[in-house]
Amino acid sequence: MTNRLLKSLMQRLKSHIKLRLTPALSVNISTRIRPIWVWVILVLLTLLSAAIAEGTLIKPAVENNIQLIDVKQLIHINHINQLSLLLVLGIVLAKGSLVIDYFMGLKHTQGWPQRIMKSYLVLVLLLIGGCFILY
Amino acid sequence: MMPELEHKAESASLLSLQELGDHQVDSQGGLAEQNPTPKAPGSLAVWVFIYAELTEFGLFFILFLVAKAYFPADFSQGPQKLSTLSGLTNTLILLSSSLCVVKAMAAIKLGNTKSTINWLLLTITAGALYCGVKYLEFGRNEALGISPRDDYFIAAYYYIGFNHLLHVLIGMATLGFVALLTAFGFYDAKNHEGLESAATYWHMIDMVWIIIFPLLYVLH
Repeated sequence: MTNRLLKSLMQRLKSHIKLRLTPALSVNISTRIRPIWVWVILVLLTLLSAAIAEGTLIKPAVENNIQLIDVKQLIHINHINQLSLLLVLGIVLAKGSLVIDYFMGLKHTQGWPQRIMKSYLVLVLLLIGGCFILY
Repeated sequence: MMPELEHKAESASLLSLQELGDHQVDSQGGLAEQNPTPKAPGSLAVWVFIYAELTEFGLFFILFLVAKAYFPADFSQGPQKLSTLSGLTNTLILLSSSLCVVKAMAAIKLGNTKSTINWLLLTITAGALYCGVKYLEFGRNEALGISPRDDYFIAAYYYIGFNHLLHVLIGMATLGFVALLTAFGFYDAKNHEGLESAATYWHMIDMVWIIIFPLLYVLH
């Protein structure tokens, strides 16, 4: 009898959860993640890219005293700058994706908008990255 | 007793799915799609407009990169002259304004028009703050003797900056208009496509600035 009671309680609980969760499951998944947390991540990424901006000021300062720097140090600085560039582009990609998915609400949507927005972001970043590396 | 409970639970869950939309239950009474993929927010017209704006900014970026290839000295020296703090502040303002727009959309979906209007007004205030920071930044540049006639980087910076500022003003006007429509009762929990369109346009402006900030202020 206790087993039957437990089973009935479990079934009631399951049906109750199903009733509660079913509307939630049908809602766009992007609304499950709170926008405030997305905003916090975006702010942190922005601060990180600004910190990198301040850090890369070393290069122009060094360029002014270029006769005092040897070749190995120049190569090392160049590698750091390329890494900084890739890091910044990665940050921009992450930020752009977060805005597209969670702020614009395009995550898990049908149709072309999400594909076009993300393709645009990737294409522009590839162009910028390629240009900065080559020139 | 138990089969009765099971039947009630199933009926209740079916009912909750039916309440979500006619397409949830097919003509035979079975479940067609439990979780249909939602459409992108906003109207088709606003998406066409957004693609056109993105093309415009894309051409600006290409122009910037071509100028950089031809005048590398200008573009390596130029970013040092700018105020990274201004760019950073504007980025944070625009991100916060996007959050306000998201909150406004959440409020209208719950039918809370007063809260929607408040969030929209907050977004417009953030846009005004962005304009204020831009004004201070340009004033600072003028005080330091930085002019668009100096070099190609500064000319590109002013061109892209002013264009983005113009789009922010358009976005603010659009949001102001939809806030008025919301106040007059044109939008509610079920019908708010115009508001969604304006919100999507504002997020596009934010996304473009996310690309512009590192391009002008970060990457040397």
